[in-house]
Amino acid sequence: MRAPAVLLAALLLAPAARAGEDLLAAETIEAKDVPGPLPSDPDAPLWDGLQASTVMAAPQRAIRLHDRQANAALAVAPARPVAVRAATDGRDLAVVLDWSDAAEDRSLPDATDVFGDGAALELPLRFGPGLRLPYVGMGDDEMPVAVYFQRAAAEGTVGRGAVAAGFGSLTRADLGGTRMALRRDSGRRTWRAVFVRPLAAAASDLRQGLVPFAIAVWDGARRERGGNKALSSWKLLRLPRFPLDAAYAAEMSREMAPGEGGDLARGKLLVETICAACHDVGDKRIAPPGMAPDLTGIGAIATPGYLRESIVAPSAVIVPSPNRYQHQDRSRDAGATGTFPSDETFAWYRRDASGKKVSKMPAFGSLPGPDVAAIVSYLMTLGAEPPGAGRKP
Amino acid sequence: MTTRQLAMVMDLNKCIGCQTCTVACKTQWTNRNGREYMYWNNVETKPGAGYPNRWEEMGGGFDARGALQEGTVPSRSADYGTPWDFNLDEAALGAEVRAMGTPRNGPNWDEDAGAGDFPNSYFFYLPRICNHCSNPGCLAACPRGAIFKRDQDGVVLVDQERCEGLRYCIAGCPYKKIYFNPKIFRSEKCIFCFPRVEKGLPPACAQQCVGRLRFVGYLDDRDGQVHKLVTKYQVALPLHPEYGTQPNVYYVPPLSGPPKYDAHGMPIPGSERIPIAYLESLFGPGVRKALATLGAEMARRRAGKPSELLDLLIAYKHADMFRLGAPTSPGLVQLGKRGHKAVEAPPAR
Repeated sequence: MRAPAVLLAALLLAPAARAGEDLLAAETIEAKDVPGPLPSDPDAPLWDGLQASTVMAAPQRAIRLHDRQANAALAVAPARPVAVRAATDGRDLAVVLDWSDAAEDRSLPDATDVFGDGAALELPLRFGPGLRLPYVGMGDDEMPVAVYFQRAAAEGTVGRGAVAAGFGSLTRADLGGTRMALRRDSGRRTWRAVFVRPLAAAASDLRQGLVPFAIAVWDGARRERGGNKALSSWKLLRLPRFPLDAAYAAEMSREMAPGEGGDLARGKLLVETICAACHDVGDKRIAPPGMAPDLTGIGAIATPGYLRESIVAPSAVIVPSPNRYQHQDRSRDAGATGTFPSDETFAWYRRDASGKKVSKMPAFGSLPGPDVAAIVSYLMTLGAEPPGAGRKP
Repeated sequence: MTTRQLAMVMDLNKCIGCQTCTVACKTQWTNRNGREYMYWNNVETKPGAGYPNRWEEMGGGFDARGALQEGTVPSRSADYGTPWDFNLDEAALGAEVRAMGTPRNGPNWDEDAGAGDFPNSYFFYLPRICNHCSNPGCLAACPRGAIFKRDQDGVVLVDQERCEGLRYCIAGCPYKKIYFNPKIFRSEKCIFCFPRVEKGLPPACAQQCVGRLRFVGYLDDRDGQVHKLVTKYQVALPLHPEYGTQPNVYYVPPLSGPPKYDAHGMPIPGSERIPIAYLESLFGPGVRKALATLGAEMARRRAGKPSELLDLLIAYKHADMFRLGAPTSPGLVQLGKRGHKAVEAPPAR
């Protein structure tokens, strides 16, 4: 499911070639240098001249939403290949997504339970040497993201820009000079989404050699909307017009390269005996639902570096808890207004004495290196499992 | 943090199903702009499928451990019923009145059908608004934190700037009293007429109720009728308390009515025309005690003794049914904590 190497493995990390480098190249898509101005028309001939790379978008299962029919569809929802093309004219960046979707779904002005197909492009607000990637699911407190979103409606396309710093925080924002278009090819049963934004925009400055991005697609027929979607892990755009920062390339290589392959059987054992105490994963569902991010399919949306860090230093990235009112603490007094307080067991972080957010997951820094590698290697295999694997009916 | 909770008590023994409350609400809030199918206030016949159709089977709410449950989003055509018009223009010229299109379902589709066989059939009316729950399922299900309870009165509102029309709230509400407006792509719901409440006036549905069955006040107002009916006499009960949202609309359950008749047309002493078990399935385990209290107080009154409870329920003066205090906002309404931006866009470079 990894994208074909498009790039520059040699240029990226030429002198001391290591195992991770080809893999980093596989995570990288070249934004081809073309003469401007860039069109936003999905039918522009320019797009077909660009090399397409396949990025897999996998169903979001880390947090569970509460639509019964949507969850039934999610149980058998497959990962979806999305062809990604990119180009720049030095002023704008264009990202073009093509994907198959059997049915054309558009929201309707007189229906309450119809959902439109859609797509989104996610970019970090800040990136570069010394800056880690945001949490892929809408960023996090420290590392916000810009999100460009399009959805098919009856009268055309609804598109907007937004910024986010974690689940539920997505806030509409004028990101400046963005052009978007969504087009259905009913013969081939595909969608094409075009996103064009200035390289230098209010949201972020993309004039760098290596730009992280992630994508998401929604299938309205599966009642997908909001956090119920298929998303990719962080990938990289290579903008050959701008110099490559070797330090950043090395950081991203460490982030995305799986490193020396861990013992998968050992990883499975460790995940199912240690991690599963709090994280539901596949058909191993011991923990109360919602206690911690569900790890089913995590390998399709997380980078190996993020997983490694989450094990040894879980407080490095604080992922906001989902809506804390989903769990009432019935053991406490409901008070004069009859409101039971939230059950803090299900909060994903607490605050230390100084008010800083601290993950409720204990740090497993003392775990031997090979065990960490085994867990990461095993988790990275999750996400390619067949539809329906491990979901409770 | 909600500091006070507004509540409504509806005495079902007084409801005649006239739908004046429904019309008061509809003309005020939902007769336009994508809300035409919505009934923030409806009166349904029980036993019956209600509105939306079979809403009690659509999930949402919390389980016994306090965990939010999955639910479904109703379909406008299949579950709410698509609104229809009549050919009144033609009828004015002498044509027979008929529905335009083929109505298949509506907000009062099974009116007066009820249950049981004649002469032992039964039904009663159940007016429903948003319960402005203390632990709202809609609020818990919204992944965006777009739904909030006002600090000052616990009224549950949708922040229209945060709402993105995702509709998880509708799945999470076990009463299906929050609606999707497909025209503006937002969820909308009963707002307890908060602009009126802030002027010291009750919601339009309560003000207009010809049967005088709706009391409005704060749960902690110990001198208020709401507190007395809910807490002191415990004759007003929440609808489906097992849904776990701690609703703040309370119902005085219907008395069983006349006895059932046997095959010879003779009354069966002590028989339950409206089965108590059915009432318990709606209003929980407090039904028997509430009905016993009502029966005892009625007996007292029949014996010529005073009864504070019956005086309350009779509601001699309509204005006494509403205790909202002095107006809090003579001018602009106070929306409470809304419109917050979760994340600010960075300034332009």
